[in-house]
Amino acid sequence: MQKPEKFVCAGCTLLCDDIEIDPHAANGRPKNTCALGSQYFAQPLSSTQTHFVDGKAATLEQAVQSASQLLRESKSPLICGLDQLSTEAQQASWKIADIARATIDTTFTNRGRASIFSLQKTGKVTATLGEIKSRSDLVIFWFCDPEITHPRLLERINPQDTNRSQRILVVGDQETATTKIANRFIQVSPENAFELLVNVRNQLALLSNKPSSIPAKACVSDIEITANELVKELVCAKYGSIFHQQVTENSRFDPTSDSISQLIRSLNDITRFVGLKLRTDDNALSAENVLTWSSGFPFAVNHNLGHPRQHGLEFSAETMLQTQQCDAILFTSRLSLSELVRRLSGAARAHFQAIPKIAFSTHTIAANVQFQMGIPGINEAGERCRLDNLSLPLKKVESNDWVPPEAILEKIRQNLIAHS
Amino acid sequence: MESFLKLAGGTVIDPVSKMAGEARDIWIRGGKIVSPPTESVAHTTIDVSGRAVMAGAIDMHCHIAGPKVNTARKMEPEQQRSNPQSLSALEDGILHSGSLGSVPSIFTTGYRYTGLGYTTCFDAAIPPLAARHAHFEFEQIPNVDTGFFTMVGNNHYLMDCIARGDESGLQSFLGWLMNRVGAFAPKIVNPGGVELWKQSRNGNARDLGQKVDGFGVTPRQIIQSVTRAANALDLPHPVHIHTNNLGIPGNWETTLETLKALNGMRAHLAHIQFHSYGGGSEEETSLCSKVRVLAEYVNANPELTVDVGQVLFGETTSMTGDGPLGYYLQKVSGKKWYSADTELESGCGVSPIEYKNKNFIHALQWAIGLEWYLLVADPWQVAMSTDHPNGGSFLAYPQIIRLLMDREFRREMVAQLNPAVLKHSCLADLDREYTLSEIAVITRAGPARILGLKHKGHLGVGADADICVYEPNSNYQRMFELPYMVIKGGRVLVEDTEIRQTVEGKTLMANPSYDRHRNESIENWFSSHYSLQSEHYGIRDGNAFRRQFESVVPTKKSDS
Repeated sequence: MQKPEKFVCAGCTLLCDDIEIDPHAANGRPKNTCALGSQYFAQPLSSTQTHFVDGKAATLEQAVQSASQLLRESKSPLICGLDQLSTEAQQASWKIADIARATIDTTFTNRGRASIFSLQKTGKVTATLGEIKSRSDLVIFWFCDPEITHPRLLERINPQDTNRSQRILVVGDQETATTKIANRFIQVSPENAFELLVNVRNQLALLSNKPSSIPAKACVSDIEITANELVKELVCAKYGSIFHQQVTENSRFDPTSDSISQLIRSLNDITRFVGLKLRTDDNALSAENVLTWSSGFPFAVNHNLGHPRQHGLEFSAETMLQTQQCDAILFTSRLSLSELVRRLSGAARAHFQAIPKIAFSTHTIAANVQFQMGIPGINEAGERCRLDNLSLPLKKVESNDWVPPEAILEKIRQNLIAHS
Repeated sequence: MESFLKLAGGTVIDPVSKMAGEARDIWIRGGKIVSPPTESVAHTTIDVSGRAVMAGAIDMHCHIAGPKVNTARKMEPEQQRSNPQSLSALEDGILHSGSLGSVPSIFTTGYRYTGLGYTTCFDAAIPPLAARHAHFEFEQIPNVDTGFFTMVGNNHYLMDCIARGDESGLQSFLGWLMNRVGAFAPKIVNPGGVELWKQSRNGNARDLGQKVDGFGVTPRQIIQSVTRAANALDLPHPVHIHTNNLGIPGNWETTLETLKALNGMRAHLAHIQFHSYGGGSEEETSLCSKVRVLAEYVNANPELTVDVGQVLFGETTSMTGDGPLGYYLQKVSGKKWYSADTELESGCGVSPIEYKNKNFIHALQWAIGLEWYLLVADPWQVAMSTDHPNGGSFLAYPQIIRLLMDREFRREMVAQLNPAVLKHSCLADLDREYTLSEIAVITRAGPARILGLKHKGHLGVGADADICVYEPNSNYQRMFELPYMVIKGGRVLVEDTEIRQTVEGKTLMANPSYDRHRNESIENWFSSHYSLQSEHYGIRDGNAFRRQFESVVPTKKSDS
């Protein structure tokens, strides 16, 4: 009997790829999905691909022509929202940024960038999900709630070997769905998270020198006692793993992000430990990869001088909009325009509304030019990156003859070259 | 119909055709070198008289794509900022912008290889799980054909096969894997040692006879079994080996044991410089060269080949599929460190490193690399490499050529080293100078033969029209760093030292025939062990990739 075809779910960054869908079945519901996945596959689909210029339906060629014209007239275009695109379309976007001397960024926001800055300062010790499943005897969730954000994570990293136990520990500020199924919950406020990490690292440093004593000095504060409890858990692990999210909203410098990286690194002087960021930013990891191999930098890259430049968040989408340094924007968003605008900071919001817009969107959105795209993994194919940096192919569940974003972007690029 | 191109009157240096400087015309059509037409035909002539003509060069061991390479770029923005590459317009197209650190961005990688006359490159260490990422990057590399070696030396399925003595199962798995991920050759990296390091922080395989916990096999068994299976599959390049104990004082004994374990089978040892160290005590100065004894063994066994992994002085990035080595290097340097354990397959380590000529160990590594070139008697057994970017950038190849061809220049460089080095290396006693023909061997004809690429590395009829034309210069570094002309697949990419156009390269893969009866059990094993479905593994959906795949015909079949 032929095995059923498996599809990839883009409902979260776990990209579960065991989804079975029988389009001919009466209920048509996908199998093996979690609540997020079910919602994802239940999204309404447009039956036809329609593009718009100034709010009026237009042919693809007319829309490409108008988009190219806007980019040519722009002195400083911004391309962003790459997290919503496939790897192929991200590559096509960068090629436009290169020739249009544009600024390009993965997302609209400066939030959640601290882990890359930590990578650039400290590095990273990580592993694929299967490695964690087969080896990890201690899993720590650091200020994250995968039961809500990545509902099938625990199922996917839980060892099948019943002879091996896996201890789940949550560190966070409040009880969550994940704390309910954890073996232990260590409560700490976001304000104290950094201090806790410093204490843990200090105690581990002492432990490295004096393996028989935990800790070398008496614990006096609550944080020190909590840290001591955590250290005891950490050093007992043979292969520990820490899933983490950014604790603070500070995008430029998040000390806990640096400290988590340093902690995981230094734990490898005692035992084996790995870390994984529990990403919630769609296909942003792939976008970082594409921008890196193309330009050398993972995000916020400016090509205005004819070569790539990146200085922290100087050229991020949010900064470019806030400081009014861009005069046109090509973006991708699955949000409605009002929802997207609502999520931008005040200064960025005003400038975003004021400049010409070229939008790639799954539904109608008010923009000077709008290209309609499909929903990834449902009626649009393309590559995506799982949170552990594995590249997976999304297939179409619903066949259609829509022109995919990468092909449209390439048409725009060819138009720019032809008129340069 | 495509017209003929005639490269007229060049001084041809083609060791395969045994031409060492004769003036000859080369005819090109349809991307291939063809026989001179017997009657008058329409053609374009390019006069290259007085210039040296060689086949396009081949880098058979470099790290240019895949997750660890890209993470190295990502984690070193300070390097990327140091040398930006500008967008520039060509008559028919553009050169993309980029950056040039020790790990150049992908378009820049292609342009810079082209600028040195390289037309084919092989990434030496891609985990099978990372194959899709590598192929996506390959799609963007202009002008060069590429391929990769995929890591198998710590693969669980493979070690299980070895443990139960299932040689045919191992052979089937290797055949399945090579096809599935689109690899050119299997790569063994620190056999067993990476798995042991994943099991515990002090884990490593220090001895070829050490058992790998949980599998009961030894590194020696892994090396022998994979090499035997790969030779039985008739792969163009049977196996590429990074053996145990890389970089460790006293590791020459492991290297010699590895060479002996191969026992007459065709195999290649990678970046042999890093595996040729004597010494072993805690004292730094105990380190010494053991190239002589290892090179003697290679000289006596023509089926064995090596690439060097030459160290050059300056900042670069160490990157390896050898997880415990990555851990060791960051402990030495204290610099940032990236490590990634890949389920059931491999590990990796990335960390910045700087080689200094006044540092005893670094200077000795430099000398040991040159000893290898000069002590292997038959240049067909040694290929040029820096293990880019580990020992240094591929951009240093012209400097290495000068060091090999010009003993006075070599002596000047030696004089600048930490003087203690000469007590531990015989480099100062070696007077050998390479000829242009020998350079052609170690940079193109030799790598092509080692890789089983019958259509590359030479200028005979039927070869790919990948050709490099050099302006003669007594300073060989100058000569080789700015080729006058580079032709790829019959199209002139570089003319008068400038890139004029770009072309898409191809991806070379082995695609061996194997017993497919085991496919179902392999797929079943995959389903119960991996964190993804087998249908999403590798390139089963090959149509996702735009670049053309070229299957290289196995050696025996092409002979028959």
